[in-house]
Order: sequence, then C-alpha cells, then structure tokens
Amino acid sequence: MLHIMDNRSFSRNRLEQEVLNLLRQRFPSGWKLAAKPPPPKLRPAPDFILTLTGPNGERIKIMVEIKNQLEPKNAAALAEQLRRCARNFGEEAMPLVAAPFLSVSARERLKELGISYADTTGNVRVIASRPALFIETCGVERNPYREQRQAQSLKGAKAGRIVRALCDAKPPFAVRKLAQAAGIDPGYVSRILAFLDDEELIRRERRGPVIEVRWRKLIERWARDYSFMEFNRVVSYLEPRGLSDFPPRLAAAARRIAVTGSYAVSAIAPVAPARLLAAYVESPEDTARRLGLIPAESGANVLLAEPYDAVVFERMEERGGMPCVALSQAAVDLLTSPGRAPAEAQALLGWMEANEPAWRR
Amino acid sequence: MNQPGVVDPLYVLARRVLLDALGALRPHKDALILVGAQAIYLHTGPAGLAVAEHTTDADIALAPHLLSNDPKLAEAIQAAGFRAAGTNVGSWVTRKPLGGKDVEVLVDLLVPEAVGGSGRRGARLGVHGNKIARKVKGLEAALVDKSEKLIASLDPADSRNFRVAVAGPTALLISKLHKIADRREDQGRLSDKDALDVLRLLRTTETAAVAETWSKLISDKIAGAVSLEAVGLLERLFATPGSEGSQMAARAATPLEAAATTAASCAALTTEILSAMKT
Repeated sequence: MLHIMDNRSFSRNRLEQEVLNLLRQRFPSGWKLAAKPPPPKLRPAPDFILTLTGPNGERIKIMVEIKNQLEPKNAAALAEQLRRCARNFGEEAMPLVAAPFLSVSARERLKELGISYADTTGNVRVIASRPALFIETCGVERNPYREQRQAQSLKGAKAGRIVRALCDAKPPFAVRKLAQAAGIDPGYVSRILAFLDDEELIRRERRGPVIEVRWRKLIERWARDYSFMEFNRVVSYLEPRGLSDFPPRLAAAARRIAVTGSYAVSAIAPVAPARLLAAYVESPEDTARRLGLIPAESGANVLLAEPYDAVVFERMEERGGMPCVALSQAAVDLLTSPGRAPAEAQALLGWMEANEPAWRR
Repeated sequence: MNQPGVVDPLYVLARRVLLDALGALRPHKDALILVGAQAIYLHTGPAGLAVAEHTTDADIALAPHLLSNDPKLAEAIQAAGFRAAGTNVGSWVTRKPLGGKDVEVLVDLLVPEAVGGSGRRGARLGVHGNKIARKVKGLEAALVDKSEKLIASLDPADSRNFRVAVAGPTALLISKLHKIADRREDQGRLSDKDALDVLRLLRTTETAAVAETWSKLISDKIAGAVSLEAVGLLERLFATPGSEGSQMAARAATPLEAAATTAASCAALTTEILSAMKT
C-alpha cells in the first residue's frame, strides 16, 4: 500500500501505523496483530514489540526497529543490535526492520543476516520458525520518497516565496530566518539556496547565511521557470467603459487586490500607455461579477488572476493610487507576459538598480 | 496624450471663441443649443480616450421657432469678429493668435433638417435669411434632449461665462450616428474620430438612462423619425466588433487602447443599449 506523501521524512507514529497496516494485510486470515511499546528497562530497546497470535493461539513476538533509511553497510550492525535486544528481552523474539523504503541491496543484506523487514511500498519478508511462518511480497524497486539533495529549478510556489524574500529585503539572510519569513521548512530552503549558489545568484558564507543576492539575475532566472499566464489562474475580461476610472472601482470591489504588470509600474517605468490592467484577486469570477466585467476571448483589457501563492499580497505598496504588488513580483510578471511587457520589465529592472534603497528594505 | 491637469492651449482658445460666439448670439439665447465635439467634451470630460477630441470647432444648433427677429444673426456674429468661411453655408471663422501665429477657429451654426424649411443646404430662417445656418439631419433630438449648463472660460484671465442649453448625451449620440451614416454615403469623408466620439459617449453614460431618453425621443413629433432611424444605424455600425463603426473607433483609439478592446467595447455597450431599449 503506497500512500501519497510529501518527500519529508515520515513521522515515527505514521511509519508505525503504515507498517502495522501493511503486515495485517499480508498475514493469513485468523492471525491477530497487536503492537506494544517495549518494556521500559529493556536495553537496547526496539521501537515497539508486535505480538502475532495465530488461529490456534500460538504466538510470535516481533521486535520492530524503525529506520528512516537503511544503508546496506549499516545492516550488520543493526542486526547485531536487534539480536542483543532480543537476548535481553528474555523471550524468543524475531527481529524486523521497518523503513519507508528499503533498497534492493539493503533487502538482500537483511535476508543474508536473517532479519525480517517491511517497507511502506510493500517490500515485506517475514520469516519465523515456531510457529512456521513465511511471507514475502514485493513493493517497488526505486525509492519513491527520495529527496532531491538540491533543487533543480525555481518552479513552484515555495521557490517563488524564497526568491521574493531574497529580493525584497537586504541580506544577510540566515537559513532559519529565511525559512520563517517565507513560511517554508528549512530543508527546502537549503536545497533552493544550494541551487542558487551553484547558479551564482547568491553568495553565502560556508554553511552560513546568504550575504549577497544578485537580485536582478535572480528575478531573470526565476522568470525562466515561472510564467504569469500559466502559473496563476488568469481570466481575461473586457471593461467596455475603458480603464480611466476603473482602478478605484476595482480597489473597492475586492477584499484583497494587488495590481501587477504595466499598471503597477507605469509611474516608475513608463514605456507606453498601459492598455491592459492585470491584478491579483482571490476570486476573479466574484470580482468580475461585482464590477460588471464581460468575459472576453479577444479585446480583453482586464486580467484578473487567482495567484499561484498568497505571497503576491505580501509587501505591497500603493503606487498611482492603487494597491500594487512588490516590484520584484511586478518584474517577474512583466518578464513573463506577452507583448511589450518584457521591455517594460527591463525598464523597471533598470529603475530598480538605480533606486535600490527606495524599494529594498 | 496631454499631462493630466494641463489643458491643451488650443482647447483653451476654442473655448474662448465659443464664448465669443455665445456672447454675440446672447439675445437669441433661448434658441441656442451647444452640440458637436465641445458638447461631447462637456459630458465625457478629458478622461478616457483623450485622443483627438479637441476639435476646435464649436457647433451651435438653432431652434428656428425660438429665434427673435432682432438682432439679425449675421450682423451679430460679424460684429463679434467672425466672417463667413468660404462657400460652406453656416460656417463662420475667426482668427486668433496662438503661440506666435494666427490660428483659424470655426463656429458652425446649424439647424435640424426637420425644422430648416425647404432648400438644400441653407436653413430658411425668415428675417435672418438663408445663408446663416446649415441644415443638418440628426440634430432634431437636440431640440428635446438638452439641459442648461454653465460654460466658463478655461483661461484664468478671462472671467466670462454663459448659461446655455447643451445637447444631452442621447441627442449627441443620435446626431453622431447620422453624421457617420451621411459621410458613409459620401465616400472619402469618413472620419474615424466620429466613431470614437460615439464610443466615448457610450462609455460615460448610464445605459438605462440613455435607453429611456432614446425611447422618449422616438415618440417625439419632430425628433421621432431621426431617433428611430438612429437605432438602426447604431445596430448596423456598432453591434459587433467587426461592424464598420466599431472598426473605425478601433483605428481612432490606437495606440491608446488595443484595437480589439475598442471594437469589443463598442459592441458590448451597443448590445447593452439595444437590449435595454427592447425591454
């Protein structure tokens, strides 16, 4: 039984439950399975002790050691530890290693050492002599939970949040603080930072904080993996009465709103009259209904976007009397929008370079 | 595009000439109705598609039955510095200095065709003659849909202001639609700007109010025929983004707005008005 899980390590409780369920499904009908914590004085102690009761009342005790992962080279030491534990237990008990996933070589090694095993993908081998019991099933060959040691791109909402945090404030950034600010687990932050480090978009002290962010290159690199039109749910509308009086009406119609694109930067980097107003709102449909906008395939002059992440509403600023996204967000949105938007993005990035203290705090 | 809050000097001058004409024609005040681009500007303001709306011409419609016999219109307008502009009956011109050179500014005196008497171009205005004002089809609605407004100078040094009737947005729409249709028949004079004026009016008015006024105009004895005809013109010229008028407006609004947006806006607002009139 393979559950959909994120690639973080399993919690002990969850893994224990997974293993119990897995074993229950595999034992012949009539066998009962109960889990108990080990006796307090038992040293070394397994994670828990299973009692397997057969249809005729015969019992097998199983000492279960849970590992987040098991390298084959560590299998022998683990087997020895489990045997000592079984000896100290004083009853006959069969050792079993459980893990989210056991590789083919780890399983081979455990087999050689005579240790039973179970992983959550369904690789199970339980062998007992009294009463005689042998179960062997196969799960998957490749580890479905393997964590990327390092991120390979800036795709996704979490990467976006980290990029935004790195751009919007001045360094230094400690990993933990950055993780807190972006609301992301430090492990993921570390992997993204390793990637950014390799791409020379940031500089950091050895195993320490980020001390420099090449924010313009970082935003441009982000734009290779991000797309305003694809990552957000963008719905296009026609405001047939034109845009001259529209922004204040829009601001009044939505609970949360952040104008982006040309309108958000026209006061800073005017390239041409802004003809398309793009804004993040929580619900494009509700907002459009309140404003009487007409859904439009062609001729749209308003784009309402349900954002890829709520970070678009963070560190907003009022510009031209409108609530606007932070400039880092406006820049990546423009870079990845059609028409003249990329040219406007370059003008904006130029302004941002010349006026860093005005926006980076 | 002008900077917000700064009025084009040419428009300041146009307003001054309009006030000159209104001053000259003041004894006939009750017969005057401001129509055309300057009236549209008073309704729509400078916002939005501020592209070519500062036509400097002033168009003043006359209601013949409200004209008094004195003073004579020709004498009054000439006394204010205007002269007949060539062969176009009803066009009066004056020269004013602007930015170091003289600029010609026109005032057109117009009479709704239905009340202009016989004759091809010049309106028959009794004691005032046949060469004062030009007959124009479509202005009839302005005799009914109008309201008095204060027209003030845009120049701080000029303290003049006049209260005068200004055609309402519906009457202006009707006359614009007839103007586009007339020019269509007269190939080569088609002006995209007229279609943009239609859109500017549609954008700045309440659909329900326009539909209601329009319906009333259709039942009016004098304005009824042109008002009804204009409904058909609106539908023919603007009901879809591909319609001729929508496309004209789209060309005129470039580059302030994407052509597809302008054309789609024309169609959407036209559809709104037409369906409001049907209910």
